Amino acid sequence: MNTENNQTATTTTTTTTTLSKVISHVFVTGTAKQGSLGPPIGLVDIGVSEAAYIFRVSLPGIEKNQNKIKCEIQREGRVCIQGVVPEIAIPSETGYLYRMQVQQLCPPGPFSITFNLPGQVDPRLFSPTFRSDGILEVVVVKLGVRVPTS
Amino acid sequence: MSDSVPGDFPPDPLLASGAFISSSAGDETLSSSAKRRPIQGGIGVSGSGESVRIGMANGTTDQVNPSLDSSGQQAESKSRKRAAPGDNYWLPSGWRVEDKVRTSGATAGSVDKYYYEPNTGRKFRSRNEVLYYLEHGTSKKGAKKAENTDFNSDHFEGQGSSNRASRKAKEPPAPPPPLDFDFKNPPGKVSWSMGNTREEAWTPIIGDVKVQDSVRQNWSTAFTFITNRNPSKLSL
Repeated sequence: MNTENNQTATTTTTTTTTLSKVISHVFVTGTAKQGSLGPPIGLVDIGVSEAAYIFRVSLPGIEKNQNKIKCEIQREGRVCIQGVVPEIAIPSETGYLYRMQVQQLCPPGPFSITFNLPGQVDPRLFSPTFRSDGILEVVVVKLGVRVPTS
Repeated sequence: MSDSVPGDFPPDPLLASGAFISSSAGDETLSSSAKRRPIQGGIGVSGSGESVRIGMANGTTDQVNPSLDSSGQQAESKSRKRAAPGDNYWLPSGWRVEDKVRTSGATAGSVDKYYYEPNTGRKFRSRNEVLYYLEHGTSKKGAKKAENTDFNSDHFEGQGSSNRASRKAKEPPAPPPPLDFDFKNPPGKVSWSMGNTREEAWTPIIGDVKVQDSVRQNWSTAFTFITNRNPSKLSL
């Protein structure tokens, strides 16, 4: 199953500005790889401003309260997000157990999402926002941003 | 003033009070190790009298005389005046060490050691600084104020001296915003771990060591500063 290829295909069909032409290859492992039609977990948007990069990663189904997501940033611009897809609790108020017939969402388990930002960054200048819609949005300042002196 | 023990260094004429740099010093045979003190014989570079040596056992031909300088000059302050190849055992391989001799100012003649990180070229002024950086991925709070203020200007001599009044006017008169953040030298990698709730701050970790809160706070301040100074529109 070539989810990576699907990922690339999806990206190229959307209308993007020239800046987004920098299509970072997104590498996924674990259960993120098992979503069909492209990983529901691991879709990435990357944006550039004068001083920083912003990236957004779709992580639906990751309940932040339960599990710790880790985001590793390297100075070269490589980003690696690691986490665990939790078991989706089966509602048991009726006492029924469900056997899953359609499983498009990522099955539970560990996963990682790795990609490269367009340039070098300062891994310390990192500001994440895990939005309530399951999208992790992070701003990372570029390397070499000069602070003007007085 | 010269004890010509084979392999030994002639005493440094600059260390005696009232001494001055003479371009025609030394008529004795200088071994290759004397190249590290080019002021003594006009060997090597002019100017700040730098000598460069790659860290770790990279095979210099220096002869080591670890005993006291027999001339007795400043013998009480250190048991060994001259550096030896084994001195930098603590320094990771690939790092460069530079001995710079001050050529002006009240402290002319002293040697400053600088350590340079490979790849980044980051400069450190002491072993402690290097060790701290290796462990924490960043520099200590108080020690890098000089770096913060002079990153736009060139290196000037005698940074080890605390006497800043006699400094040339390259340094900005007032320090820029009180950021204690070394922009030039970020760590190679930081691992950010999400807190227990979505709103909680993430925890930075460098090399399996949690970054101190005070350091983390510095980063946060620097981040805010940068992003507020550069409020350009984002493009996606």
